[in-house]
Amino acid sequence: MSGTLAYLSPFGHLLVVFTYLMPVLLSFDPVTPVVFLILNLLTLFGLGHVRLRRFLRIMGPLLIFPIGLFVLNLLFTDTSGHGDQFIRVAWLTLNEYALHRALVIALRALSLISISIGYLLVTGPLELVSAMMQQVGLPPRLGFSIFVGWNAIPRFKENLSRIRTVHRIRLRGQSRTFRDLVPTAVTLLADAIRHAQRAAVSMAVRGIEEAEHRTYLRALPWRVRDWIYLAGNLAVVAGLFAWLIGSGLFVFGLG
Amino acid sequence: MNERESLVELHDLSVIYPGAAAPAVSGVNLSVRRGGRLLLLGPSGCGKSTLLFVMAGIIPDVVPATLRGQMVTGGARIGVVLQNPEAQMIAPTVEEEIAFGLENHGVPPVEMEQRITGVLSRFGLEAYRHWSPSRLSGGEAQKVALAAAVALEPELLFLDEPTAFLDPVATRDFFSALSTLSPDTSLVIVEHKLEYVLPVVDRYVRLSRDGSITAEGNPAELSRTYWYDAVLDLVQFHRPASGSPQGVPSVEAAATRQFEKQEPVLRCRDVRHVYAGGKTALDGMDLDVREGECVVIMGSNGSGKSTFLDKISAVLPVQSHTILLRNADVGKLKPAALYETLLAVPQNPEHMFLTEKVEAELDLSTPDRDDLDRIASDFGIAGLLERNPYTLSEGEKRRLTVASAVLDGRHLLLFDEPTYGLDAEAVATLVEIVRDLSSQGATLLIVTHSPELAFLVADRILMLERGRIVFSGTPADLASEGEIDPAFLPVWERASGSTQGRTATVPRRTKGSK
Repeated sequence: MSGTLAYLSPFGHLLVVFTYLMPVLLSFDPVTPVVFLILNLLTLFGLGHVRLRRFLRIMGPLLIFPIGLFVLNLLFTDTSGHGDQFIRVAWLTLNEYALHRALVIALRALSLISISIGYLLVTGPLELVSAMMQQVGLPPRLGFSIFVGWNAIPRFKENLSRIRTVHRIRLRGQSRTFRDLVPTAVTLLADAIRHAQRAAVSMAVRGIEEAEHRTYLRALPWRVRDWIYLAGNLAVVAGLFAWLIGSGLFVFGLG
Repeated sequence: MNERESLVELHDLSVIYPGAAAPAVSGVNLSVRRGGRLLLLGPSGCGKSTLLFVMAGIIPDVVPATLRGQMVTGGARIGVVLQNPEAQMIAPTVEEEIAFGLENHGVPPVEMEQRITGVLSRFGLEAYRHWSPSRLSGGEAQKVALAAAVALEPELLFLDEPTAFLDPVATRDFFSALSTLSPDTSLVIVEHKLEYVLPVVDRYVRLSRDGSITAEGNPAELSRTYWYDAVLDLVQFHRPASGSPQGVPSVEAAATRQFEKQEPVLRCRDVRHVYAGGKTALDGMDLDVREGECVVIMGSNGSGKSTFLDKISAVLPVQSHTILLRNADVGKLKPAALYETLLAVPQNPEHMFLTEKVEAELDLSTPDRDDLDRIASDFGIAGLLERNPYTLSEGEKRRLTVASAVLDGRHLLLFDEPTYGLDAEAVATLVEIVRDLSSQGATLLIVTHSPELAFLVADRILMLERGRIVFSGTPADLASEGEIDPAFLPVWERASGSTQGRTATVPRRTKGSK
């Protein structure tokens, strides 16, 4: 984690992020997603010290999803039974219901993506697993297996590329058919199973099975400040949610 | 406690894996005493690692198998270092990797810090404390694995071929680190590189192929004969009528094949490669390889050997006019044209498998049934034709890939670390195969960490360092080259003392002679 968030539990921050996501998931209005998007950005840039350029660089390619959803919903929403009100935007005449629906869905997608990416930007997956092992009793065997799996991703990628190349060379540069994918998958699977077995042995010989009184080199206890951060955020989220409902801006909807 | 009490005792112990027809280890009686240092020897697949895994408690607790007989353990603290350094790394940083076992055993954090600092300093790893293990070289990672085991302050340390994946210098460094262990620490080690391991053990046990003990004794007895037994005798070296006092065979002068006048098959000029992240792997490599020549490439891990093969086989992007194969620009050749001539045999034999049967694998390389049967027989895999390639032993897998390459009939063959996972006997077979290929006119490029293989098959050896060729010459030239680390010389060269000013010629078997 970075910034002030570095001093807080990654698990606590995950809970906070869930509290941001829930109202957005339950809403079907254009305001709620924007409110929680802004709250998330304030947390990211204020407490997480995330650089705007980095955030935009990652979010940029992902904007295709909200934009795509906007266009699809604008063009293909079933408007029957929702009136025939149209509005003109420049030279376009748009169905008002379709535009509203497209806008809501696009903003909701943008908000959900932004909140999720924000979490990944300030928290490493391994930090989260470490915190969960120490704070919520995630079994170390499972936690360290996740570490092994995470560390194996580049190996998997490299092996896939290497196997495909070796097969291409062996087949004298012939184009691969769908059938050729089977041996690639078998080889990858065999390698993954063997790697997992070796890692399991490596963990077992160092006592993972007998770790009843496990200690930690880098202790990550749940502290008072984590309670304060969680409670403070819950209060803000509850306040905003109450205001959105009270003012009639919040519309419930899962569609 | 008695100074020489038994830490582990095996009485008539047999181990049977699920579904196996025969026991992997059969009727073994053995004990490891406090402070004792035991070497387990034997051919690949004879049950050495199984025996070590049983004593370390990995079998049957983690790896299922049925044990018969009796095993008595004194509850000694143990540490284990496995073969593959990469597969042992669990944690995100080196210090957490070392801490992993200590944490499991409930060692308080302050004491943990002290122990971690201690082992990092002892094995010269201080600079890597906060590194991710994925950034380490194989040698460094294996030293971290040793440090992690030693941090547990084991009374009994198990090492299963700990240098199998290391280059010669890293191997020497690893054993140097091992020699710093307290004399009270007992060792059980499986290791093929006898020249390094013999000084650190005080007893050996040799297993036969059926998993039973065929010999045991003092390593001093073994050191008088192992040069022949392990490598040289197996490749039918000419044993001198009377050996030198150290038992080192004198090597015969042999006709050196002349290639200089031939047109190069492969021409490399200023070949460079920089990986994403900025690491320079190749820094201007120049090389001509001539028809029928066998060029062996050696160097430390990360020196650019495998990258160079990847460039030649166009696995990595090739800049125009830097690599020419029979005067055709590899950078512009279509894959079909390039791979009509060139075949790369990968480090991991499984990567080459495309079918579910050994016979089908060979069939992919040749439509001629007679050729297939002959080569299968030559390579000792005729009895395995119906088997699934994934179920073969490492040596058998390697033989299958080389047999496929031979049947394939391509002129330029690239081998990446063909000796991984092979015992001395399998290496000797490989030497014979490579010599045969070479005498039949195939052009070979072999990357290896085995100086023995290099000296036995190479017309020319290249030494790479940081992506550059720092030596190019015959094995005899390399033996007399004062600047080369002696770790890159074969056992018989190192055993004969100083490498300065000596020349040695390794006999090449010409076709039809043995």
